[in-house]
Amino acid sequence: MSFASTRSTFERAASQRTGSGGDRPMAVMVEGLSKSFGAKVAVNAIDLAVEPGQFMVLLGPSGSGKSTLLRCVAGIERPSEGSLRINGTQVDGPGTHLPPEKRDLAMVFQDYALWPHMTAEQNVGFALRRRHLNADERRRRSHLALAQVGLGGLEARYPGQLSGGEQQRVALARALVAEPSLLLFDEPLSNLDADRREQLRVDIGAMVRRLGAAAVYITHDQAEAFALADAVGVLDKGVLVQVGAPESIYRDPASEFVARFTGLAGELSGTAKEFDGRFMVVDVDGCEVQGRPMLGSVPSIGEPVRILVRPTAVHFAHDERAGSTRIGAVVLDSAFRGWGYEHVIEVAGGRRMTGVPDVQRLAFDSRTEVSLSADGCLIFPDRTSHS
Amino acid sequence: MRKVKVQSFAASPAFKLAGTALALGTALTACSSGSTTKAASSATTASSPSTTASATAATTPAAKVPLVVYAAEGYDSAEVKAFQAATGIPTKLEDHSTGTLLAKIQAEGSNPQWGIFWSDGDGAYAALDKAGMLLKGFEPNTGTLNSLGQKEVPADKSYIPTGLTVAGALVYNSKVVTTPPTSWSDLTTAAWKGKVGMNNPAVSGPTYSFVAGMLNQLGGVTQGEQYFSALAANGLHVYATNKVTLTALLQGQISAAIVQNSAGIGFEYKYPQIKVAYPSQVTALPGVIGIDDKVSAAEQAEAKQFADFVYSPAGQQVMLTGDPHGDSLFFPIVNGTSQHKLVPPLSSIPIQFIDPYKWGPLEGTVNQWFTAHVVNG
Amino acid sequence: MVHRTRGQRLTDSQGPVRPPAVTVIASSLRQAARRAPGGLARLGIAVVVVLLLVVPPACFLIQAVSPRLFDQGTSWLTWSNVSSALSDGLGRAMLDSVAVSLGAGLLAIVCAAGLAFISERTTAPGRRVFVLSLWAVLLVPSYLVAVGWEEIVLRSGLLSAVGLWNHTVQHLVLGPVGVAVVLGLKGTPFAYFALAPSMGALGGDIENSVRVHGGGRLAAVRVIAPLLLPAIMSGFVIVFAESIGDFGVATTIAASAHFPVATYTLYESIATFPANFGVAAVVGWALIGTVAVALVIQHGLLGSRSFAVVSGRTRASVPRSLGRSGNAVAVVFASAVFTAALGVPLLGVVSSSLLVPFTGLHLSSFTVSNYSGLLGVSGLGGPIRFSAEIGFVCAMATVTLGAIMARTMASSRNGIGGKLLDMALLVAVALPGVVFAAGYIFAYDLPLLTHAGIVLYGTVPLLGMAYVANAVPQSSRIMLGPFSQIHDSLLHAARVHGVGWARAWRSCVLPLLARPLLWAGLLAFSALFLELPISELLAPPGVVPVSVAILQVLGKANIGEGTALSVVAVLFTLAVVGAALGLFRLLAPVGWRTWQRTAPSKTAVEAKVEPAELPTVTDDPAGELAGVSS
Repeated sequence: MSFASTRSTFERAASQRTGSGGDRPMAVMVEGLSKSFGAKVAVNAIDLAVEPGQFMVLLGPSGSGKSTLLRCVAGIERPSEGSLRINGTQVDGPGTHLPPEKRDLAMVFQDYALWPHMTAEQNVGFALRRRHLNADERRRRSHLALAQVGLGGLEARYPGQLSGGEQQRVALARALVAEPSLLLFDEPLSNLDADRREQLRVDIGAMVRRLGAAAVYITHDQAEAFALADAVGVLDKGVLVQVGAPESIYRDPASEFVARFTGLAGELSGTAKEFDGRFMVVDVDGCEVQGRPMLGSVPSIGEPVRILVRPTAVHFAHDERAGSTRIGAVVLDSAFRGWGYEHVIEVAGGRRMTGVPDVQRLAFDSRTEVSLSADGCLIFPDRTSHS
Repeated sequence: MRKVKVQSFAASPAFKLAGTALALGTALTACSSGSTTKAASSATTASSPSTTASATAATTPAAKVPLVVYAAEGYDSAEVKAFQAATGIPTKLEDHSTGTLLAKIQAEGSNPQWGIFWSDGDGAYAALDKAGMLLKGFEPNTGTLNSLGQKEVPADKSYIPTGLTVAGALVYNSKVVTTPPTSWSDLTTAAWKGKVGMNNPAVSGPTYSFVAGMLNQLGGVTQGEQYFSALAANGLHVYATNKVTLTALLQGQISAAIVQNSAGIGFEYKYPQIKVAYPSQVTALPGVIGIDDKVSAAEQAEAKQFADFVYSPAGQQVMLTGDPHGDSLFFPIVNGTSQHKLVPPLSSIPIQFIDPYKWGPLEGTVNQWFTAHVVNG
Repeated sequence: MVHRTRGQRLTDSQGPVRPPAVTVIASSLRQAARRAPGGLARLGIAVVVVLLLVVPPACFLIQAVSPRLFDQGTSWLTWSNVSSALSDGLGRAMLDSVAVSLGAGLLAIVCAAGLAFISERTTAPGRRVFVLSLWAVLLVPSYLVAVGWEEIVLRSGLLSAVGLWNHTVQHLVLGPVGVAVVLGLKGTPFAYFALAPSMGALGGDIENSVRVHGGGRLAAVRVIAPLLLPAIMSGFVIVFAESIGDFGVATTIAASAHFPVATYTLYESIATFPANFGVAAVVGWALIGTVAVALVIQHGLLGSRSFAVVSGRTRASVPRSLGRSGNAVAVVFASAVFTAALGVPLLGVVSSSLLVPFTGLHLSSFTVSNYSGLLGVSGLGGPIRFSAEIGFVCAMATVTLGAIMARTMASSRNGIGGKLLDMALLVAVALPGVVFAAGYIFAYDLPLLTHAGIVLYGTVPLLGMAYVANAVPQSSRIMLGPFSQIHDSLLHAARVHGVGWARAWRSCVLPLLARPLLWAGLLAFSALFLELPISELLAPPGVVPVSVAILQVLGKANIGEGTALSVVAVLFTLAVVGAALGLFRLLAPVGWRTWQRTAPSKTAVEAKVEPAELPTVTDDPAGELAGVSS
């Protein structure tokens, strides 16, 4: 289903591009893009469309090819195959490769990539050169951009005199100042401390949307991805496995990989028992667990299945949200999170569930029961099971 | 010094390939070093006032082609200056040690760039003559040679002697040495153990003439080698050149040094404790001009004019004054030239003449032996 | 694709497709040019490198077995030069060379490790001064260091003047030990540049983890030393190559000590008449082979061991205070190294230019007559001006080419191309300048070229090419460190924000490298300014480089004047260096000069600096070197 939605977005974009001229072209249009380094294929036959003003987050573990894809969009890498359009202009394709400076975009780098010999103002002003403004105007806009990212008064500082968070804000101002129609972010928060990361994440989201530019943002952190994205694309081993709204990706992951990468409490194995057209009952070591079959294909009765459980689907028995079917559990750990506690429990069959929330602390080693809500139990056919 | 015809280069496939690659690349380097050319050539004109016309004339053929002089004499720049002033012929001087110039001449091979080669030691000229690189049959007509000079003229007149020095005289520190040796064999005695230094004949041209002279007077290569082996066993020090050897003498590393007498006399003049002795026998070392057989007729004609100028009274005067405490301290061989006042009368010196056509070609093997058994021994 | 149809026809009649070689090359060139922007430029650079650095030495070296190729013998292929070189004592000379170079390498590593530890890991006083002194060591030619030591220990020298002369000392210095020490001291800066970054990056967390797990200081050293091994090895190999190819010490101390080293053997076979280029080429091959063996051993020792310990993210160690006695030890150590490398030779050279020989040490035995005598020497003005101008132009070219090579090596360190270039440049370091000089004659005085109307030999551009070729290997090696530190993201950031690659380099990267580039240029300039063998063999007739002019003056002057002239020449280059650094200080924008001191990697990243504490441009010699030292 989610794949179908990708396809439809893609086709819509394609029709916009070729069809009626009145529509705005896609901010980014990637078709069949591959990139190899020697024998290693980093990115394999990717199709992706980013609408104007859309905030697209590419999510994937390290080595999934998300960085390579972003660098191809930026023009830093040249694709081995496929084509790339930015705002309707072909920038990569057979015999075409537009250098980065001709693509009218901006980028925020993981390591900030500020020029250490320039002051904050000079760093920001440098990105305005292509706008051919006079010195006064450049200075005015640089100051404004720095003020917008909260660095008013620090214009004369050199990068070395700023903290990591401040440096990345300078980099953000540099990316925003020329008001390009496309912004690229290469894991901009990964080198920052937790508290600054959250503040800057909020600012990035707000400012990009205020600017109205399209953004492609890569990260390996699903929370960051969901918080920022209009649309999320998940990459695995160089392949774009799913694109969609954060909600749909979380609800209907296209594969076990996507489900795992977007956050699980734990996994259970069992046998498909009943299916009522919406939910499926699975026998897990004698307990019955309800869940939703994924991938549009319903496992047949008696087939081994795997249940991937979202943390939000697990409730302790005393919780009013707890359902009627329950399984026994032992508390292994509880961690105070401010709003309450996150627990690690062991359920029947020795499986662990992590990140189970509750407002009170359950004692270590205490026995309890949990219920698993059917909506957050994602059922996949278990092709590896021998039982 | 074997001659290989130009055709043999062209015929070799390796060279065709190399040639193409070079030709291809030259255009590129020419582009890349364009600024170098400009800046540097302007520097050339500015830096050599004596040869103003020369820098630009290098590539454009003019009525008077530039005469290129490779010379290793202390008075050569004065001579070149005087010659250019007298004749108006643009003359360019390469002034380096004899060894450097010979290496250059040899590396240039069959595409020589020199017109005149002027240095001490006729052995190398004999070898060049045998390789067919010298113009034969020319003698200057502006001066006549005395009997000493006539002895130095080769049968085929392939080179022109200009003066005479002694290849190896004994220069000693009179504060340490009270009785200088009268015979070379004295130096192998215990009294001189570790106290004598000389130049490496493989590096210093005149020194080979000294070694060859020793071999000659001792009766042959074998006897000569025995003598130098004995010297080595007696702690002989071997330095690169005159300058280094004399420095060692001055610094007290050694008490006596075997060097060219002109250098010794110059030293004697500057440092009163230094004296020059001539043990029996010393070997004559002629200063010699050779003319390139391969250059253009125009340049050869100018080269002949140069030799004529050197033999003329004016040229002789420049030789005597151009390097007053060094190479100007020679024994003149052109009639009518009187020697420098610091130079002792030749009659007081036991001097021998050796055959350059016999000893010149042996230079390589003798030096090889010397390096293996004396320098590194 | 014209060639395809032609190829097709060939297939029909003759079997397998074999497009004409030229067409293939042409089309692959076109492809190369299309694939990467600047592919053609890259090709051009490769051609320049081949013509400058590969063809001339190759023309020289080939004569080891084929003297007839260049008119230097009768055989097209012969082993006689090899056997003749061996019977001339090449074996012993190589053993001597290897022995002193090993000694020099060890000494350099010990000195450099000590200095790197002090500069990178401690707060000992004078750290910054000695980094500047390292550059001075680089600038002083090796023969001058050797001569300086000689002047001190000889019987007429300073030691004897103050009544301390001793035969044993003289023998020790003027022998293998002296050769190794002088070469080791000269090599210390190279070893330092190789070691200092690792020394700074290691320690820190790694050292702390040893200490908190109960390991003492010694245990920490045991853990860190193997981690430093790659840096130690690369420093060692550089010094080894520099030492084995050294000419200055070989012709001074080694030559007068019955201690033949390989470069002297090479010099002899060229300086003798008739010159035996074949034997010289065999010696050249031996030098190359030795460095190659050293590289193989280095590779074997390190194997596939990861160099990645020193990553960009590794926390730099915090400089530690050594305490009073520790500081004293550090200062004494650094002073000892620089006294030996700079102080003693300087004292020797200056004293010999000021002292009247054999008079002892009284006020009356000092004389400035040698210097006043120099005033009477005329004809040096032109040569100085010529050498300064060509030195300037060639230094610029050297830095440009060296920077391109350093960048190539830094960006493809693990690629085969980068490794090859790295090895080739290291091998080139081991070849004395005279090999380049003679090689240039062979390569560019071919009758073939003259017939084609290409006259390069005997021109100033060819002299310049040889100068550049001789200086580039060292130059690129010095810049390799700084270039390796520049992250590509700085370039990419510039490109992405709208400037072309040329401007991206100019505005965003080169300023960061301004200091190392300046230093590399100055080093190239001072080396070229006093360069002798190439100047002698390749300067066009009538053009007199300053080194040749000095030699001519030396031929006529007395010894004291000669030394005085050397002192003046070195002072002149130091003055040029000082002037250039002064100009840089005056003219370069603040950020260019101070970024290193404010760089995130070095200073605490999170430190809040008040505007009042902005880096000022006060005279701090330390900054001069930061660019290369860290």
